[in-house]
Amino acid sequence: MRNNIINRAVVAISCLMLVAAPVSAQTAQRNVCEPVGYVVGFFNGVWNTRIQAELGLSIIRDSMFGETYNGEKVEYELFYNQTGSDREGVTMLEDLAEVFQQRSTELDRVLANRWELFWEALGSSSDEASFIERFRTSIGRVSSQLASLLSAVYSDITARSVAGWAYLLSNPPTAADYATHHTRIKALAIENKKLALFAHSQGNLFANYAYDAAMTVTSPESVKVVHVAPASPTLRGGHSLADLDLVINGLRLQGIDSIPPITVGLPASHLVTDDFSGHKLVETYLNMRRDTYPQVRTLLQTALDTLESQMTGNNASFFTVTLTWDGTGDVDLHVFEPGGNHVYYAALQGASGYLDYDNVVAYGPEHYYVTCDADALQQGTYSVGINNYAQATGRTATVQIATHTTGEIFSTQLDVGPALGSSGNASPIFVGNVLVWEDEQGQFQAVMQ
Amino acid sequence: MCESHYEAALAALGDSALDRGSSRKLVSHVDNAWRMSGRGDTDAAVHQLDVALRQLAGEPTTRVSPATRDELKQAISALRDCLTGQSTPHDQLRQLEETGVIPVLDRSTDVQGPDQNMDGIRDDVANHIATLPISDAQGRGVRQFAKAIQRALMVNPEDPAAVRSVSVDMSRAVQCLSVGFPDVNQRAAVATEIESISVNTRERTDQYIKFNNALSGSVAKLLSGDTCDEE
Repeated sequence: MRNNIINRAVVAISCLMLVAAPVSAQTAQRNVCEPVGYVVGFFNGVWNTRIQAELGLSIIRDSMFGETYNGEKVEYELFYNQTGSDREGVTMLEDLAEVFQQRSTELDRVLANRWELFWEALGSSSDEASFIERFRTSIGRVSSQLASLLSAVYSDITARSVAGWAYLLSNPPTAADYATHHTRIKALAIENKKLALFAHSQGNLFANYAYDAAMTVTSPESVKVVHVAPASPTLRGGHSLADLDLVINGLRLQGIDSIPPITVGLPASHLVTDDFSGHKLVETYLNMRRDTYPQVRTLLQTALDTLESQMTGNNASFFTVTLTWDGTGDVDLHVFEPGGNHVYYAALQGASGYLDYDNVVAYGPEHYYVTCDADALQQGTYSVGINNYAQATGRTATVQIATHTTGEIFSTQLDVGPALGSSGNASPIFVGNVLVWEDEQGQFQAVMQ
Repeated sequence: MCESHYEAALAALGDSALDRGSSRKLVSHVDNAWRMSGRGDTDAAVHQLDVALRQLAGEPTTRVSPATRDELKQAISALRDCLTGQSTPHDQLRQLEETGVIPVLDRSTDVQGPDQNMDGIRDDVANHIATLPISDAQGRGVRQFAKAIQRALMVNPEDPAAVRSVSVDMSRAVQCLSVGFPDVNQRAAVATEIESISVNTRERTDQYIKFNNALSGSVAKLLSGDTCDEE
């Protein structure tokens, strides 16, 4: 039987420190990874499309602390979710689309097939130069009927969001919803990044889970949470909640008593001039004309100021492969390097990278870290696989590959297959190939093949 | 009954920063319309106002700001609506499209829509972008953003590698837009505008939601530096 574990977190971190040492000793050589001190992880709110969520994150970055804080690089990662409906198998966006569809039958179907108004209602556009603001202004002047209908659409969207969120509170996201998030969060924590988790709206539920996942591999000093517009039963950090947040107020009216106290007031006109819901990230909580913005900024600043690294030293990896699985058993990560080295539990150190840890009991994680030393970093194809060594039959594995420069480039969930013991070592279940090369500018690149 | 609209149109013209020649012509069309309607010749009055609206639409943005132009259009349109009696909400929206207050969009059931020059942006969306009062550098970011959304509409949401590829395009587009629009409010407004007019039918909405659902649970890194594509 292979080595047992006593404490996964301690062993994993110790392995990282030990094996990372040779890498840091070579810092005089060409280092292809710029050191990163902080990562701000953003957990988006209830109405965000993928691109709106990333846009919101760009606004957090550019309206607050930018890319450097206390002399250290800050990176920003989006942990996207799209859940929250109270109908099984239906997401919140699908639910809200139905609401709009129903309203569009009114007023001689004047809104039918004018779905730009639906997306505008969910997006961020209080800028008076935007076409939709001009549209609203014009409609207000030419047709009180149409203006009333639009207003009804906004009310419906808010009401459905309250219902969806209430459902989510009593039927929380499942492990499948956040498996990739947790794999990435743990990888960042183990890489010794200082993590500030910034959550808005329903993202607060996901951030709480992510924080708890991070605590299995690191300490509270290196992970802080900022809660914006939360309705979570528990919080992991400071919060900001506006008195005119109609979504949260709607939850309160439904008798949900877990809602944190209001922390900031808005003028009544805000709901007319800036955000019909009082709940949106950009128009309400990052709105520089309101008291919400300085409060949220202070919360993030406090989080950044109080974050501490668990250890010193070079923690960077050019790319990282992370393996986790959803229960007991022994699943192994295998990487075949371009030079022919096979890195796995029986050969932890390769030519370009190393396996940090062999978890033989449950869950993982196991990581394969690749050096940032340009002289040691082999170019070519890295082939990644997994093997159910023992007692994991029926488990689902999550494999995530993230690069230093672009973050996650691949993530998949797959069945671990039958238990094969060491006979599966030579031909593990194929997961993916990572191609590494140095471009004409001397920059190393990594993509999935 | 429409006197207040007439006076409001004249007041708006008086307050505008239009040059004297343009302003005088517009005032004369509005005055003519008012006199003709007083004689009971509504068609002629409406014709005068339509001429005024067309003249206004042709004024270069160097002479009149988009905001002022919209204000004048709305004032003249309100007088026009009043003279023609109660128009339907459909008519009112059509009027806003004809006067350029809101864009005229392709509303076909086809998710892709027309793209004659095959630049990856639907023609009506590209036409609208061309009317925006933005710099060349900003225009490049806006077009890249529009292309990313159009790709999201066209990708097979059940193909994880293809969805991820579009997700990377989106990250590049957001960063390119961020560089072009350091004012975060303008950035948010233009992004929402392009997303909204791109996903403007039920069919496009359904497809776009499927794409977003496919990315639920994913992680993406905010890019930095110049991620704008060559055009």
